[in-house]
Amino acid sequence: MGNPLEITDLVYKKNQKKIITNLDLTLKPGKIVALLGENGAGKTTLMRIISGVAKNYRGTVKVAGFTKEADRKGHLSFTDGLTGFANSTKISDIIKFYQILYQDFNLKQFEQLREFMNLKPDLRLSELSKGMKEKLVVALTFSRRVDLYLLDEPFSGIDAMARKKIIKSIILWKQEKSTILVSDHFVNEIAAVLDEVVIIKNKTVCMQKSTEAIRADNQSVEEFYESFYQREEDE
Amino acid sequence: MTSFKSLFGRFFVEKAKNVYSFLIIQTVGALAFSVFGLLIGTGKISEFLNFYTELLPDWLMGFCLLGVFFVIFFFIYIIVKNEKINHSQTWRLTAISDEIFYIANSLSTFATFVYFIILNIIVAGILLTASFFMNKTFRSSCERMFKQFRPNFELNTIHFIFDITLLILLCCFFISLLISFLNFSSKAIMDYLPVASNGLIVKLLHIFIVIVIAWLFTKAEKIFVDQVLGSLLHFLNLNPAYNNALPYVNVIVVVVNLIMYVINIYLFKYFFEAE
Repeated sequence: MGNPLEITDLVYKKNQKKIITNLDLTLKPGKIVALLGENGAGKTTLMRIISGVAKNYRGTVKVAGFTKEADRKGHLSFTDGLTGFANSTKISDIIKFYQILYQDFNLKQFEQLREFMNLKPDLRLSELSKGMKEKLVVALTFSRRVDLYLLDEPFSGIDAMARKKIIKSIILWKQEKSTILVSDHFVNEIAAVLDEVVIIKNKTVCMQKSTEAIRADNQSVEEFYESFYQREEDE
Repeated sequence: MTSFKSLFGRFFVEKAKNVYSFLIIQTVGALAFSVFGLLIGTGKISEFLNFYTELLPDWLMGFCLLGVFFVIFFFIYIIVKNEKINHSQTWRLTAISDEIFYIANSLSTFATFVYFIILNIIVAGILLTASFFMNKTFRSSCERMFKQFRPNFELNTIHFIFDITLLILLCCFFISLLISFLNFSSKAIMDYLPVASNGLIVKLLHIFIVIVIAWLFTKAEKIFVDQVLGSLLHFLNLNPAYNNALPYVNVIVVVVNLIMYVINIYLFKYFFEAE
């Protein structure tokens, strides 16, 4: 198995507008990496390209050494908004969907996460608040045994207390060699579990730094991120 | 990796969810029509109760008449569902290649449609049997009609019925492929154009592109039918008006469907994004 993620020379255009240009990114096994950037920087697009749902890009994307989209999808778990289900769908039906379509879905793990998130299986999607839905998405995402987890703003609707609890537990849910790429605006809250920070600016990765190196410079991840933008603006 | 069988099964379950609702509405609707019809005809409820066996043939007729509309409604519903799944990120994240995903989705749509028709035939068969055994007038009418027309169940007749049924099903399949083609190609063009941010303009532009593609497609199809199909039938010395050219027409429609299938798979794999 190669690195969980290797991207070289990625270019993506839509409606004649360059969204990502000449992007290179490599993630090592077992890391938790924050993908940071302003709104519209291309974080979600990048995740959609990695997971094979965005088309017509140039460059190479490898997940666990695989370039074919079908193989990539089999080795990653992406937080999905569950928009493919009708609002009347019960959580138990979604579990069935995951069990049938994903061979790596671990029901035992899901049950533990479901209890942790306080979600009842007989609830329907229409009965879930935004936060509860996001908890369900996180539980489903981490119930798969994969090399790469892509979390696209997974905690935005979850209340502060539950968010802290979930972030602290992430480290326990992932396998030792699995890597997590998480995009989130709550930088200070996820900072404690991070190993690396990747910043997207000007349509490409302009900074990839370990949190160890950031802390060695007597900075917190949030300070580093803010100062990075300040520096860019000053220049 | 997800297998074709499990994905196809899951698609079928998802699409067949509302098959029974459609069938129940159709059956109950037909019953309501026949009850009201009989009530209006007899005038009083007491008289209606004496004629309740009349209800079954009316119910059967109402069910068959409504069936025509319900099959069309269901076809539209299932095609819309098909396109929604093609567009859905939840489904497209399945660990399977785009080619197999598209084939599983379109075939399961077709299978669900055939399933709905089979259920319709079963219910009509039940109503026909019940009417035949419970309504003397209906039974004698059936017997008289059977004797009068003496249906000819020769091999040729069976072949003809089979060919016509196959042609209708292939045409339905072609329509579903055509809808997918319009959806994929118009979306691919929309993603390429430098589009304005105004939602209404984008929607109007999308509709305009769909119309242009449909017009171009009709032109191409006319050339294909006139030139290729006409030449082929001429070469085979067959004239659909005089000969039984249906088996050949069916083969040609299968070929056309396969060409559409390949084009759709290409568009789906390389240009059609999930959202």
